[in-house]
Amino acid sequence: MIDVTLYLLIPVITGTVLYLSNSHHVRRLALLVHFGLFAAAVQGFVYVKTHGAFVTSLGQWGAQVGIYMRVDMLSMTLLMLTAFMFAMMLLYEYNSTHTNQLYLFLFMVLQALVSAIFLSNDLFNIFVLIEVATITVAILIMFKQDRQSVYDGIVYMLVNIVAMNLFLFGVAFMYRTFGVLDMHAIGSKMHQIQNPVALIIPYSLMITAVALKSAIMPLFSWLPKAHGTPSAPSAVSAILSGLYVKTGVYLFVRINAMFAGTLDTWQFFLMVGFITAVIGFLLAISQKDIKLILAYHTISQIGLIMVGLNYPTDYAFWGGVYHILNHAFFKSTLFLGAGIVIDVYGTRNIWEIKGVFRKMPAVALASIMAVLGITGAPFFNGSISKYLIQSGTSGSVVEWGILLINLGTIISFIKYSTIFFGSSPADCQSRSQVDPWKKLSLLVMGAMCLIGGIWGQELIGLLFDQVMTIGVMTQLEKSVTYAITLVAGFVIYKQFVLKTNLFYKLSLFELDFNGICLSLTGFMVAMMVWLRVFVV
Amino acid sequence: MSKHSNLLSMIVGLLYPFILLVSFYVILNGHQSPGGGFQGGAMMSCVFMSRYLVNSKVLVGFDYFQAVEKLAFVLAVSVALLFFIFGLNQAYPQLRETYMVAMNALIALKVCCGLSLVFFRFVFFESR
Amino acid sequence: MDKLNGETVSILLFFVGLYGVVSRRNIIKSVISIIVMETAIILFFLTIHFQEGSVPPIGENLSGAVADPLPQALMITTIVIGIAITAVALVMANSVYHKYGTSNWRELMIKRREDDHD
Repeated sequence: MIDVTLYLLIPVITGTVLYLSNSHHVRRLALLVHFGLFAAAVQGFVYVKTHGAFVTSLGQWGAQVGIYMRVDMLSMTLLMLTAFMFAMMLLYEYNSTHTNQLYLFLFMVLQALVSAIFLSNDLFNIFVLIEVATITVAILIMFKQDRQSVYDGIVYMLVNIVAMNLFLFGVAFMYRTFGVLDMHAIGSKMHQIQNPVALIIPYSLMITAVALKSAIMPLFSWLPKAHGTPSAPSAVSAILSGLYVKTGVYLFVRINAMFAGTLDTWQFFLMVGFITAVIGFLLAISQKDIKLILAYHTISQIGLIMVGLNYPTDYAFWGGVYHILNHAFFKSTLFLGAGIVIDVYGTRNIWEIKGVFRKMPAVALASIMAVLGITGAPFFNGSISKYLIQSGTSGSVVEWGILLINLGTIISFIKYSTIFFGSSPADCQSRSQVDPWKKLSLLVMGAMCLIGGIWGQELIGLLFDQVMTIGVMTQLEKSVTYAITLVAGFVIYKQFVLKTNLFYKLSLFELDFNGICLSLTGFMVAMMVWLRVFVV
Repeated sequence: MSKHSNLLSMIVGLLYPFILLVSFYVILNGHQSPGGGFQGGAMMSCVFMSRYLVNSKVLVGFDYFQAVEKLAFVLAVSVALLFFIFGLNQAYPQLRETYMVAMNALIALKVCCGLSLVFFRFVFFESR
Repeated sequence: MDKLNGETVSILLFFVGLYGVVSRRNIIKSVISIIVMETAIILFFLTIHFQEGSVPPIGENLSGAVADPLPQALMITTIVIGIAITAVALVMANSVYHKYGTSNWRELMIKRREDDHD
């Protein structure tokens, strides 16, 4: 069991060494070190599972005074995911000649910051880490400094800074009421508050900031531009969509756990999550740029995760958490594959790209595995997490909502899969040479989708201590449901989507910076009104 | 500002020693009263900024600033690591005050050079 | 005048900054509004538990009311973060101005959308 601060120090040291020298040996060493870090994370997870949650402190101050890092099952799972994803990204970038040293340094610093966010227990610590991470991610997005990415980078950064200012103001109110900034300590003292009306303002300020970071309705306008910007390196888009937006969801879980029992807002976020999922896939269907389809679809999946996390049964909650892991695998595979396709074909328009399966079979195979995973095909991991969420919400009207979200997902990925079939334009018929390291990392991540599905029950028991039996009858039933939804989606796509102009009009909907800030203020006011009227 | 005013240069020039004196006081008393390394360093960089503001044709040695900043950072990190790894914190309690003053001074030097470099980069390179 | 202490002033200042971010269309004015919001938060943190005649928390065996040292330490960090954010935001704003020729958010969005349709 290694010291927890090593998860933060090792990436920074690796980044510094990679910044100073860019030779092949150094890259090989960095890759080995990161796989070692992933192995250490797995061992740490086993330790936490057997010994229970523990805290480490920085400095020798006592409880409730010093800075603590709390390690429990949820944070250790996400830490394993972080170590694995960044090791895969280093494998992807192993042979790239265009990645210069500053880019790798910033990438490693991002790993340290994301790991620290998953470990931290102190509200002000979270503020500092997210601010530094915002600057790092904005620089990574606008790394190539061309016209479009500069605009996307500045909108992303300023919107997140405004949200973090709201967060810090909420933290100031919490400090005024409680006198400590440690999340666990505040959670244990929460029952002593006699008048919960005083907590409405800090809760709505903090939850608005966290809601912006997890891109739920109506605060998601920064996400498609930031994740699907034309010239961002595909590893950056993969990490952002797979991992970084999940820090917002993780903070949402932690802050709700801090206020549990005094302010319960799960109905509000259930509705908001459902609306997010529906609007997400409607906007995804109306795009014609492949990276934007994937980015808008992330919003839809985050809505599904929110629905899972907020429904009061255990199955739905852990289904939502398992979907966080699965979504990281699918989305990053798809983004990396889309990056390779764009490089080879030279265009981003979905109507112009055809015949990927014949041209680059390995890339197409990995992407198809990810598509099957994300739509919930049987034996893939997406079906396990969606089944968990569905069985958690069974018997209520929410279950029909989840079926609708699944249908929308299938339609958007039918649209995306048109790039695989057909034949490519006549001048580039032959097979393209794709870097073998990129193919290897894509195939490994695609295989994780398959593995997560076949051994899904064992994984859930191992990671979350939930017992779930999926017998043969349920598998057959799920396959039938999947086949019916697939056919329905195909029919709707051919008849309805391709023939109407409605979706093109939807794709023109966009908010500028002032609009996003106005929606932030509106969300905060709506949260305050909801709390005052319905909860307290 | 095409012609710089001699009067303004002279009077602001008279102020430089006082600004430096106040900033040294803030740095050296950082462990006993409000203040410290960052605040003193920010005040020291006011000298360089005001020197540019009264006379826009001043020459600035960027290499010196960058070299001093990097040296101060390396020294600050290594002094902190040495002090704690060798356990001098427990072994020689009377050295703690010297350690605090030294760290304050090094941080102030780094902050002064850093802020001046940010200011001069905006002024000289961003206005293409 | 009893209610006009640091906390109420800082709350008013925070909402002035929020109004500026929502309604002003120039990039530089948005950056200034963000700085105003941060200053308001710093003022709020520092005047949370203010008492007349409290001594600075330096030294041992202090008697009487002692000022709270935690917000002071946290606010130094916040001020430094504010400086870094301002510097990076201004460099980005400069870069956007040179690439697009305008510093108005509405016109920037229109020009960006035209880039997409090419």
